[in-house]
Amino acid sequence: MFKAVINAEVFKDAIEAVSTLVDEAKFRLTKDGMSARAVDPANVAMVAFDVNAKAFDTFEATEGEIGIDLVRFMDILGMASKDDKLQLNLNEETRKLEIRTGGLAYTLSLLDPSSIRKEPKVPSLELPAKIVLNGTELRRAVKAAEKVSDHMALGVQDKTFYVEAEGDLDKVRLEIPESSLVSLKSTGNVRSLFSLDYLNDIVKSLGKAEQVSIDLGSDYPVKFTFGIAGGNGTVVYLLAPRIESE
Amino acid sequence: MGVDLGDLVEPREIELKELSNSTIAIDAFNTLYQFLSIIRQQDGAPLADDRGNVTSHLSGIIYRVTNLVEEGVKPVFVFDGKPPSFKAETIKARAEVREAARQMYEAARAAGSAEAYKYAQASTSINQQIIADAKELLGYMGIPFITAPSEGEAEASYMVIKGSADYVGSQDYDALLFGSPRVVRNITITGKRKLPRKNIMVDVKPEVLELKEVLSTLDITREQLIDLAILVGTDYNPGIYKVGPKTALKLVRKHPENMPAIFDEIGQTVENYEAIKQFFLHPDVTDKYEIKWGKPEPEKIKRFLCGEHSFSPERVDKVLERLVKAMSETKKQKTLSAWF
Repeated sequence: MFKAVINAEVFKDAIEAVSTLVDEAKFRLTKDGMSARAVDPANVAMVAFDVNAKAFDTFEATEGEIGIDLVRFMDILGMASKDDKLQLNLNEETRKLEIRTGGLAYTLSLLDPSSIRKEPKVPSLELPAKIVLNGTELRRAVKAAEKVSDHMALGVQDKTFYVEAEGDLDKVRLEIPESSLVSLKSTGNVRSLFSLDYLNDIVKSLGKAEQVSIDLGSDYPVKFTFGIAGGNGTVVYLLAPRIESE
Repeated sequence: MGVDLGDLVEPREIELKELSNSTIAIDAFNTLYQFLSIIRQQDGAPLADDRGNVTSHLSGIIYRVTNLVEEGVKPVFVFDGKPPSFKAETIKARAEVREAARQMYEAARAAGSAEAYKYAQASTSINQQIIADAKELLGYMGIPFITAPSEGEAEASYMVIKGSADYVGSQDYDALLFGSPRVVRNITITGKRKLPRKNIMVDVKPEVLELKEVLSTLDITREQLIDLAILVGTDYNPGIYKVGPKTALKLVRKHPENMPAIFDEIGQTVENYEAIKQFFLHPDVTDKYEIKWGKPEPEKIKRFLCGEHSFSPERVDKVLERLVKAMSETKKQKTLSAWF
């Protein structure tokens, strides 16, 4: 059983955090909320998504799993206006999700959860640096880097967080000192390189967050953590590094 | 060739992208046969250079392997070594079939018959020159290859069991009999393909079979799966007359891991049964291999393909540009699996 009402925009923003990486996902439902773990087909990036029942106006669910085609789901959510309410209702008999918003009534066929790629385990990583900053800043850095290269370095040097991209011809660097960050903790200098293809997808959702925490190491995956649904949910992205060319 | 489990188990279709960053131990002979039999001209004649040497396999390797590498797939080609002694009969029988097909092909082509293509495909054979050319080109491309002590498919399976590779890439499912946890089909023919001799386009996708799933779906053990395959016919035995996959499944379930009882029931036996079964369970394989993706050498590839084998320099230039870029990307992007 699953029956819920939520603000359409809040929900769309939340689901987008997952749909930006994968086309289909398995959502786990409990009485306390919904969650999903998914890794992109190339095994380079993963998302862990949790939304608490409190994010919803009403939320009732029994334990279960639903498989959702996120491309179709996002299309439907895109039809809702900003302030619309979204009513979700799982029809157990037909295994379809009924979605009502602004007078529209959709029926979304669900996917067989066993046909979706297995959920990844979330690796536990001890990373030496933690930077907390505004999501918009990071999005700006990614957009700037894209103009010159297809990959970008994230690093901490002498208590300054920096983002750097170098193409065949041009170079861009953005430095944010500790004083302009929400916080910075680091046990030394770190630097890892990442694909902008992935970062660009990730900042779509992360760019809207007031505060993003970045856990960073050297030639290690980066971990981005931020709140969604008015603080009643979290998204964690992990992105594997690229190795600097020999 | 090989065992057709397709009637019993539905393989899972995937997108090629899902294999990105996966190492695939490709059964080289299987793939070369495929290139030689499908990369042909309208009348069924294989591609050839100015001196008449067949080049279909080279075309397959340069274009289709580049497509794979562009998707982030990391291929390793595993060539056959010395076949097991009990394969002699199969090899002889196949040579006869091919020779018959070759004669039919010559006749059909002379008569301008549409049947020519079919016979041409059936007459496909691999010789030492084809193998040597394939290895030479792979070497220039920076794609690793290994020669197995015995069957390539057995070595490829062993590499997946050991974790050196993620999948065996082959068009048949024999690797499951050799114990490979995962087999993927169609990787070198993925995409829109024209059905041979028909004007129909189909969208071919990679298909995955996992040993664990196959065994649990059929509710049998790997030994029973091997028995089942032997009853239907493998590369090493012709199979029992009138026993298809479904009948064989019934038999191995009725007499679990007891082939003598099955032979009693059907009143027939399989020559070399024990040897064949032992070969699937404990094939001759080696740990002495190195998988290392190198840097493509465009000049050597051009000299080899354009200079020696009459490929079009413009087309080769284009594919080389893609290959060089893709090979350097493949080495750089890490996957999360290293940290799981």
